[in-house]
Parts: sequence; C-alpha cells; structure tokens
Amino acid sequence: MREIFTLSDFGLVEAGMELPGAPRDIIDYASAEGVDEARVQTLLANKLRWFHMDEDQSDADLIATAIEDLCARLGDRACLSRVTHLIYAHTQAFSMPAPPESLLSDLLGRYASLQPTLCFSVEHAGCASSVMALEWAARLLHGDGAPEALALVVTSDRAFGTAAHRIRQDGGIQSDGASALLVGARDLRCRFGGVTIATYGGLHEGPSSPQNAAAIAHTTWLHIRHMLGEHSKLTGLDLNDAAAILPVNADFPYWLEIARALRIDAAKIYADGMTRRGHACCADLAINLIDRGFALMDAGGWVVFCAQSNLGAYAALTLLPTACRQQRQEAAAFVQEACAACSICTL
Amino acid sequence: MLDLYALDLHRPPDATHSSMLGASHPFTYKHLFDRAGRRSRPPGVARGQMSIQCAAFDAPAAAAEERTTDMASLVVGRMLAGHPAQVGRVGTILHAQCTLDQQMLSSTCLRLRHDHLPDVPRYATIGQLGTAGVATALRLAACTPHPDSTNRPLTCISASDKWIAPFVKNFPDLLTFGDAAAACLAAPSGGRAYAIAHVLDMELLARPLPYDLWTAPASVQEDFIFAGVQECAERVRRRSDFRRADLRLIGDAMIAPLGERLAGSLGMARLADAAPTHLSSASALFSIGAAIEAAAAREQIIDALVWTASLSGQAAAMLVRCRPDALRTPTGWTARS
Repeated sequence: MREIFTLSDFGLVEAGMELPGAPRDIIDYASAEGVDEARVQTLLANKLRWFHMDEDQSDADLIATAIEDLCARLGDRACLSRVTHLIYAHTQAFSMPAPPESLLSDLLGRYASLQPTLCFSVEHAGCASSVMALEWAARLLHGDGAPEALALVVTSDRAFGTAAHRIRQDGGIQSDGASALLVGARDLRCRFGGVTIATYGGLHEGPSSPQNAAAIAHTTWLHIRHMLGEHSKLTGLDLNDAAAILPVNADFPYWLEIARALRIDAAKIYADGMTRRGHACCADLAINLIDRGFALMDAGGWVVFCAQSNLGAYAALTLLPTACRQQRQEAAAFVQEACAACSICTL
Repeated sequence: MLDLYALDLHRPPDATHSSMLGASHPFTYKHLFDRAGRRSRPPGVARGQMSIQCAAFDAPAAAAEERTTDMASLVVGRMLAGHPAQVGRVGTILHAQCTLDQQMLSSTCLRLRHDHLPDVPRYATIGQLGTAGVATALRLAACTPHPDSTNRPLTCISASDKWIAPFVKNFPDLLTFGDAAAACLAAPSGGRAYAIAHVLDMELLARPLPYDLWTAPASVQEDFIFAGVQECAERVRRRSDFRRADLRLIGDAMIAPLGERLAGSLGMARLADAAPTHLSSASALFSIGAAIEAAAAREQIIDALVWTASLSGQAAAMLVRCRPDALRTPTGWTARS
C-alpha cells in the first residue's frame, strides 16, 4: 500500500444522470396540491420552477438509467468491466429497497460486466455523502494501485408523499433523480482538486422537531460560508477566480448571503439548476457538472461544488481542468476537517 | 491486516414474538405506504398492517424507545470508556446498519461522532450490504491510509440494527433477526504490542440474487448462501498457511443448518455460535467475541474462520487470530495495555 495519497491523481472520467419523466411545473403542482398561493410566489422568487417526479420506479431503476446515460456520453459500455469499486451515496434515508435487500445486489444483477471487488453505500451525511463517496473512491483506487481501474459512484434519491414532503421551506423543491459518476486516473474530464469535509456537531437528529428545523434553517448558510472560506484557504484558491460555484439546487437566498459575506460575485453562483432541475439531492453534483461544470472546465476554468445536509455535515469539492494538474498538485492534496465545535454553531 | 483492541457487545433481552414483522411503531414509516414507497417496503404488507401472525419465536428485542442509534452509541461509549487515551487517535468512524432508525431523519455515524468522538474527520454509515456490512467496514479500516494516519490510525467500527414493522424479522426455516449492537476498535496491523485479536485476511463476495428474497424457498436461499460462504472460506484459507484442522469455524446463527454444512464441507471444527438468533449487522462482531471467549477459556490462541452472510447476496470469510490474554470487561473484551 502506497503511503502518499494525492487526490489530484484522480478525477471524473464521465458522469451520467437521470431525472425521470417530463419536467413538472411547480405552479401546476402547487395548485393541484393546494399549496398556498403566497408560498408559491416565494418559491418562484427564489428561482424555483421545474422539477421531476416519479412514483413508480425503484432507486435501482433510476440508477440503471443514469448508468446508461453515462455509458452513452462516454461512448463506451466496456468501462463497466474495469470498475473495481461500486459505491452508492444517498441522502433520503428511505431511498433504498426494504432491508435486508441490497440495491447494490440489484445493480450487479443488471450488469453482468459489473464485477467490483468491493461495494458499499455511504449514507447518513445528507447530500455531502456524494462528495464523501468520491473521496472514498479515489482513496480505494489509490490503495489498489492499478492505473486503469475505475470506481463507479451512483446516487439515487426519491421523495415520498405529499407536497409537504417535496417542498422544502421556501428555498427548494425535491426532484426524484439519480446519477452515475465514473472515477479514475486516466482519460479524465476533470481532476479532483481538493475535498473539505466540515462537520458541525449537534444536528445529527436532522429536522425531527420544530426546534431542530429552526436551528438548521438558522445555521446552514453560516456553516456553508464557514466551510467555503476554509476550503478556499486550504486549497489556496480564491473563490472569485473560480469559473463557477456549483451549489446543490436549492436555497438561493442562502447563496446570496454567502456571496455577500465571502465577497464573491453572486453571478459566480450557478442557480439555473435550481430553476431547471429542482433539488435531486446527491444527484445534483452530476447534474450541475453535465449542465454547466464540464463545459466551464473544458474552457479551462475550475469549479467548486458545495454540498450541504440537514445533519451538520457539509462538503466542498474543487474540480480542476485536466491540464492544470501540475500547478495544483501540491495545494490540492488535502482532506481537511473544519472545526468540530465551531464558534458559529449555536447548538 | 488489522489489529482489534477492544470489543463491546449489546444484546437486548429476548422477547417472544408472534409476528413476522419487527416491533410495532404505529407512527413510524407511514409514508412508506404512499405510492412511491412501494419500492422501499417489503411486498405483501398492507397500509396499516403492523403484524403478520406466525409461529412464536424468541429473539432479542430492543425496548420500544431504544433506537438503533441509541444502541450504537451505547456500545461505542462503553468501549471508548475503557480506552480514554485512544479517543484522540481515532481517525475514522464506520457504522454498519441494515435497518432504518425509527427516527428516520437521524444519522447514526454523526450521532456517534457527536456523542463520543467529536474531533474525528471521517465518518460514514455503511449500508446496502444486508447484515454483512461489518466485514466491509473492517476491510475499509485496513486498506485506506489517511493523511493523518500516524496520529489517528484507529477506526471505530460499529454495527446496530433494530427491526420495526413493516420490515420483516422472521424468515421461516432460514433465520430470525434479533435487535443487537456491537463495536470494535481497529487499526492496521503492527501499531501496538497488544491486541485482543488480529484479522489476518478476509475475502468478500457480492453476488446478485438469482431469486426473489421475499418469495424464494428457504432451502434455495440456504444453498445460495452456503455456496457463497464456502467460496470465500476456501479462497481465504488457500491464501494462508493454515491447514483445515488448524481453523475453528464460527458464523451467523441461522435456523438453517448452515454452520454444520459448512463445517462438514470445509473440514473444520465449529466453535459454539455466539447466540441462537441471528444478531443482524452486529452478528460478525458477536462471532469474533465468541472466538475470543473460547481462546480465553482454553488459554490458547484460537485461529478462527469467521463467516457472515446476508440474505441479500453478500458473503464474507475472515481469518481471525484470537488471543487468550484478552481482558474481559462486563460487556466485551479489551487489550492489555
């Protein structure tokens, strides 16, 4: 096992996504569900409009379509036979088959060529699970030391029930969606530049009570601001030099506050995904890369993806164009925790 | 590959069950009965149905308010209380869980971090491996160098499950799941002179099921699990210098006679099962505990072949050298320091 792990040796080979069905209009949906008109106006003002919903497919069904999308974009199905690690990340606790069934076994049954040596899921960290899964993927590929080996990170999240479960306060609407991210060391579309996992203790129960929900609403943007500041310091990269900051596709008002506090040009915050796609939890990373991030990196820019949760777990991932590996290698090779008992955390 | 320094086990008292389903919590998981929830609940359980009658069986059952996260926090807290100097050396929390917590918005790994290990930078709840997740957690603890690994080489591994309706606890003629939790402290081999056990090698297998888990006959599932465990066990033994007679076999407690069949086919003597009931994700750690117990009782090293397998297609076999000088604690084992 090699001791020195350089995150920027690894990156994304390709990504795929699935947002089931035709886009749904939040205006029609809210009207059919009897959502208060003033609330709908607030949602629209917060850049929300379109989302996706599917009540019949399983998580494995959605992921299989995302894998097909990935293979089509790559123009290569044979890549699946080089996957040595399969990792599932999800936010919604119930986005999985009934225990003791395994979504991973289901996927292995659908793709005979998919024969990983190790598979598992990363969960209980909200949407930050997606970045954590990528970090595990890179670390495990490093441990194996086979340069042609690939890791496949898949995600799926579904919302159940009425509008109360699909509309998140004033800042988000849940989409059902899945993604597939192929991680490797060769033929990359972009390189990992740095990962920051920040954890603010005391929120592990999630929004299970009005008090917890209020605490989360109060602290989330402060936590993101703090984490992004730390991430910028630790990578040595000025966020204003980024081609874009890719948030999860929700909470636009928070991002205005964050941009103001960190003195980032608000135009750097990619908000089209909130309007066009809705918040598909762990799939937002792949969706925003496909819709915007990859094109920016193809043009030579770098981007930061920022994932949050309602559990106190946050993650930032800097992605670099493949060509800038040499300049960034040293600064990029870190995994850093921000504060454990942060002074801005009020719990 | 991995040294284990401490182990803590929690097995709630047995209760007599007369339902196929886990304990009834009328206000939990209601949304699983919405249309989209059909893909996340067991087939054949109707909205509002909180029990499916069956022949009575005994299995460990957590108290109504004792959550999966509570059980996990209990074992990790007790284990770390015996090793206060090691808390700052833990770099990773890995928690294996098959079931959903009854407060399903919560996070078990983040609860463990908050309650006991507030400075730990990396954590995850590991899932989608049925009840066989501990083997993968051990593998991850062994094979992932951390940038901070000289200062924080230890991984806190835990497992806990509590079965609640509408999830199924009883698979007749195959196994019954009990509620249980367990934790161990692990580090890549060679870090310290003392340990309670050494994981020497392991083999993991993940296979798609060639049948439907909910409807396939118990004998079909038993044969499939048998073949998977046998394959893992043979591979890991062949890689080692052990003769069959050197190894003692121990694994998940099943109703189906898997242990006897495996012992016969592998040519290994069995150690007594840790419990008569399958202890869900904690099962593999209970098996390691039982092998340590046997080593202590016989005052000699026991080289155990520990197997665990899930109904969902995962199987694992681990070679575990159990030391006779492990110190007994009220609820587990700890290393001489």
